[in-house]
Amino acid sequence: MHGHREARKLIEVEVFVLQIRDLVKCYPGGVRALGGIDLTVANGMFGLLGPNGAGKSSLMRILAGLQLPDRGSVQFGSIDIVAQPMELRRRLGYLPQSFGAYPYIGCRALLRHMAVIKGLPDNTATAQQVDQLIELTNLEQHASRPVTTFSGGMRQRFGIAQALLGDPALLILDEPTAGLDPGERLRLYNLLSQLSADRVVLLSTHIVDDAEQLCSEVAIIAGGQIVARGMTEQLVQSLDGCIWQSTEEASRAPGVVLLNTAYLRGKPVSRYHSEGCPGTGFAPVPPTLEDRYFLELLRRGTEQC
Amino acid sequence: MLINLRLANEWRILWRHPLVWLALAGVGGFSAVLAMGSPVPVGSDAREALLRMNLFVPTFILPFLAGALGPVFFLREAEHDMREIVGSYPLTVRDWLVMRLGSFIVLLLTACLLAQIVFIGLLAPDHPGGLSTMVLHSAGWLLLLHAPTCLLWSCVLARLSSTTGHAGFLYLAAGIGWLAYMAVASVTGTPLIAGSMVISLPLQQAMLVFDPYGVTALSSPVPEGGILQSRGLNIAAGRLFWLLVCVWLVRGIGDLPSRAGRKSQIGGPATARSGKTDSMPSRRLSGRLEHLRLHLRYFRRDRVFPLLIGAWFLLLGPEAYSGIDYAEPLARIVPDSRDALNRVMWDVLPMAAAFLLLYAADRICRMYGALGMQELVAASPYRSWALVMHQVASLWIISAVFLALAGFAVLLAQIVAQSPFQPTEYLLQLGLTFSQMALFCVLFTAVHAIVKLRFVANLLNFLLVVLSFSSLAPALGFGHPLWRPLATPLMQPDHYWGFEGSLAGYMPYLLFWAAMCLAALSIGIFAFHRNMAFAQVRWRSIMRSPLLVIFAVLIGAAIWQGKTIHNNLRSEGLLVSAEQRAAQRAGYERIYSVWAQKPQPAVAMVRSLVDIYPDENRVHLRTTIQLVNRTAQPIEQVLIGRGPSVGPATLSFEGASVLHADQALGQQIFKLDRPMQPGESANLRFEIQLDQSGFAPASMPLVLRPSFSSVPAYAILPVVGFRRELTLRDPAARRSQGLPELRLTLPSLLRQTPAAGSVADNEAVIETIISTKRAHSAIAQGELIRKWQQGGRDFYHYRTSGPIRNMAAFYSVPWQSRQWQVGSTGLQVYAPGKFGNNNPNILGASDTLAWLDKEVAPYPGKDLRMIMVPELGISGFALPQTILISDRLGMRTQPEPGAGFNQTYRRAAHETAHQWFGHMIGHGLAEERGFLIESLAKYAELVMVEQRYGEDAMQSVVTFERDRYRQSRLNLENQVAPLIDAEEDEDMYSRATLVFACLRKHLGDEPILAALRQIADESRKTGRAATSLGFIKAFKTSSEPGDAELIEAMLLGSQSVNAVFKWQGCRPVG
Repeated sequence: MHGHREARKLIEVEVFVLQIRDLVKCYPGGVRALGGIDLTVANGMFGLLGPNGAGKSSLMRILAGLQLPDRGSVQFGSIDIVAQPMELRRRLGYLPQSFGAYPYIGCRALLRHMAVIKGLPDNTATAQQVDQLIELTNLEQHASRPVTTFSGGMRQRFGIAQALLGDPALLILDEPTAGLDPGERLRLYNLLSQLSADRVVLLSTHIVDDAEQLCSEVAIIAGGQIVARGMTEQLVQSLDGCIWQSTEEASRAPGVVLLNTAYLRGKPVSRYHSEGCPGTGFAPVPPTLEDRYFLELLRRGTEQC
Repeated sequence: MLINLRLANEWRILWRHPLVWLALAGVGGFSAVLAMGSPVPVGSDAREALLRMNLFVPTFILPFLAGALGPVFFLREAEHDMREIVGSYPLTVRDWLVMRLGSFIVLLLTACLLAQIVFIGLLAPDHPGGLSTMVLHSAGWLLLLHAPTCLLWSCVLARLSSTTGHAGFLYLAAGIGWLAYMAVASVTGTPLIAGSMVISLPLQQAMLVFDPYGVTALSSPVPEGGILQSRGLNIAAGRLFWLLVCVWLVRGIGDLPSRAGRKSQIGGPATARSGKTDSMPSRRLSGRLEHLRLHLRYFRRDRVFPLLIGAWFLLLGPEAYSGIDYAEPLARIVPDSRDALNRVMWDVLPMAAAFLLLYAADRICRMYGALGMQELVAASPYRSWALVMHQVASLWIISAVFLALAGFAVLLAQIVAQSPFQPTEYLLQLGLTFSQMALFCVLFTAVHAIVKLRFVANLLNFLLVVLSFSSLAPALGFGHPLWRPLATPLMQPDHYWGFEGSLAGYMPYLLFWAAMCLAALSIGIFAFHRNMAFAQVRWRSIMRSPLLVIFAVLIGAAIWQGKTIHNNLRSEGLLVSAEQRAAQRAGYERIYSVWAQKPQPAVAMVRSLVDIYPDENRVHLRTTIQLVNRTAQPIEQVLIGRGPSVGPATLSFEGASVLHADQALGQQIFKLDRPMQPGESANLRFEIQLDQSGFAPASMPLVLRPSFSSVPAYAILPVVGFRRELTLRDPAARRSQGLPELRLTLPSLLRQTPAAGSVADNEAVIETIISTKRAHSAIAQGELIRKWQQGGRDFYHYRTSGPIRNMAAFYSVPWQSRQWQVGSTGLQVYAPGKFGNNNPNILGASDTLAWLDKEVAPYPGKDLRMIMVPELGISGFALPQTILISDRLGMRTQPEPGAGFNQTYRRAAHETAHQWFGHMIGHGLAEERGFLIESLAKYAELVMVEQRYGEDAMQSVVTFERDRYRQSRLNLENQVAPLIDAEEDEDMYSRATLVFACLRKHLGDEPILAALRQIADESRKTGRAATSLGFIKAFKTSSEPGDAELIEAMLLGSQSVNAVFKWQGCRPVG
């Protein structure tokens, strides 16, 4: 598998760019899931952050060729995804938000079956690739068990394994850490970091920590639109000196924005965005991507109002 | 191309799927059951036997197989939530079609091959030397019949999958496909189900080409002229047509089922789901009603629901309308609501409703699991009993709605047919059916509540339906009626006695099943998994549950009720299986056949005192049988036998004691105190009381019901000596019982071994004093000597003026007789309703009586009695001096326009003719077959119809029988048995009609009648049984010498029917 990847790198690494232009998707009843998305994603891990119902899954499905947009274009390298979904699928690995598995069949056999459906030859090379993926996803101990009997984390790892079949150039992962325990999540982080070195990995999540830890670049989507995008570091750094934390309530002065209130060891702690100190008892704290995320959502909410 | 099928990859999934193996095992089992309970006529060659089996493959096996496995192949991703993953794979529609369609067809063909192997394996022993023929034809039919059918079903299901993405549509398509084909087959005469006949000729002709399975063209006669006359071309055109349909279906597949939502994905899964559940409680309804409404709404919003409604109407409406006035071929009735409802309420509807409820139960009982809400609901404080009862109530409502729709569909059929509407009939029939359906709802719910795995629960419920509506249980050796879940003995009502023949058993069975179902439900409530994957209770905790008491009480009630049913059935001898009966007959032959060589007395007189109690379903019979030694030797021991399955009886022999009693076979050997010398006589006394509980539906010959009682003394009274007719005759049954082959000389060879049969030994004087309830008529053979009343009952004394064929039978009916005089013979008719002198029954019987009395021999009695009987499976039956005619066919029918002749008249003439052909000649010789009985009665029919209605009417009878013969025989060019040796109905009846029509055309009636006169006269004078060869000899004698060749060719020839008729210038058969 790695040999193939090395060879492919030499000739294709610079053309793996995902370009999304003016992508619009509306559902009957006036629900506007995507309201003209523009996005360019290059090799590496790209995070797509957004609350539930922001349009992330619609965007993921369109990118995976499972759903047609009402308007706009999506280009992956030289492939027009809307016009040539089959071309994309040959280079795609996709992990949906939720999925099931055929009953009665063991994990290894199911992966082999899916590999053949995915277009891989039914030979020993494919069998070896399946074994490598099982090893990579740490499923060796359970390779003979039906996937339907797996725990949530094991099932997600199986999902990753099937997505990696055929060594895809574009990996789309929709909420991959949902339902994982901290240990599983950490293992998945490491795996995804390895995988993102030479391909486009699009990670859709509403868990900000995931994006902050894994993605060098993120976009925040809300109400079907990109409300912020950029290098993770830059998005966070731009808030330096503007995030304040206290157990007290801040003044209601203009420019003071309550980002969130959370309990820390049983006591409520509030984080504010403000150019200056919002009141007594407040201390500046280092910004996080979560601060940026809440700030963008609040801004969008204000605009909507 | 084969590589593209990726069979190995598909097999990787399929071989692990239990349904695939279950389905293949089911195919093997069904094929074995089919081959062992072979629908093949005796004497069929290997090819025909195999073809008749093969007709069931596309019609009965493939629809169910395709329906069951279709979702596994075409909706695998959708069913297991893998749509998005597989949808993102580089799989083109073409790849998918090649892969899934290809592997599906391969699997279906494998199942067909398996069926062939089973058929050949089980048929080969009956057709030694036919193995290579069967293998060759098997391969041919695999290609010609089965492969196109596999392709068609595959394309239909693939198309449906890609457009609907819902397994329910696939089940529905398979179910409708099967039922619709059965409905069409039943009116086009396709030999698949009992009672199938050509009701709609245009439809039958259309099916010759457009039958999707090609079965009609292979098994039905083709027209003798016109564009449809070539069987091969019809099949080829049909195959081409359906191939084009397949291409159209496949070309219409625009996307994969796994990407079916790609174009729209309306609202996304979350929106669709929330739209379905809509579980916010209404302010106006209580929580429980809202819960019920939620289940019903979920079912109603199922995308299959509108199709179910449409299919329901399409299935029942046309079925009710198509045969609403059908009585029999060429005869119609004036239908009312009972006739209209009977079209569907007792076969199509219960089965369709059971399958519908099977589907509904899956939707209703697994609703929360399907919506992903099971944990929410399981964690709620909603009690399990309330959840389960909501499911039951929902299914009851669905059941009631669909029954009401069925009633509406039948009503529409009545309106179109302008038939009178009787609302009470609807209430009655729909109400009785609802009770059974309501129990199905309870049982299905209980199974779903107990069994966690949805697939297993559905499989169990499916098996329950199959057991209930098929003959699977008896075929597996479970013959007890309680092995058929939720089945009751209730039969369709008729206009003679309504439900009287079967209603008595309905409630006892219903109570039994109700107790069983409620017991299962109580367990279901206790063990309800609440749609979770793990048990919610520990089984041992049932010991502390009050449900245990309820369960115990219900099971106790069911056992008590079941035992009551069982005991009654056993005491009436109704639990003796065919296998046991065969074993008894084999044992009888094995042990007692030596008595055939021993001199035994003959029955000279049968004197009976019969008390029939119609309202109590009871008869008391005391009979004295006078035995006479007509041999030349003294008789020391006498073998007396009686049916072992009849109730307790007493038997005594004057001047004799029991030497040996065989309880198992019902045989006793009496040793006479002193040898009975030639000419001496002795009396045998027999007494029995028979009761019918009504736990089994009434069936001939013994029927004891308020409106009709039939006491067949000939089947109840003791039998003297060894009787060959009580042994096994079927070669296969003899082989299975280890008996040697029966070497009865063929009638055509009897000239080499002169017949030894005696008519006199078969005849006796019959004297009967019979009583019944007031205002009923009690009927027996002989002249009515006296009638009186005593003890509130009516008594009748009958006595025959001389010996007649010893087949005493007694009847009680609530009708008084009407009498006609035909020469010196009185014709008495017992029938409900009014009828006049021109009634075709009266005309048919009178004409035949007068003609045969004059032309052949005097009628042997002073009275002939005709009794109309309820629907008991007989159209007409003749006993000495008594004729039974179906009330429906005898009194309610009219010839259909253009029929050419009157079936009622024809039947009356036929049964009357049996007083000569059957009861005067044609008995007394075991070697003789049906020629002297049925074939000669067919001859009488021809003459009578011609004399009464003219030559055209007679020709119509000939045409009718020609069509029947062509319908029955798949290959008209095959050699046939000589007519006098033939045993098949189509030969004894239809071919005989054609033969006698041809003989009459060439030779006229006089030589035939002269021959009949001669053999009847000889038989009467000598006391020896007449033979078919004797008739042929007399026929040739009374004809011109040059006609002998024609007579021999027609009656003794083995050439194919067509060859003989072409040779003789008569119209060929087809």
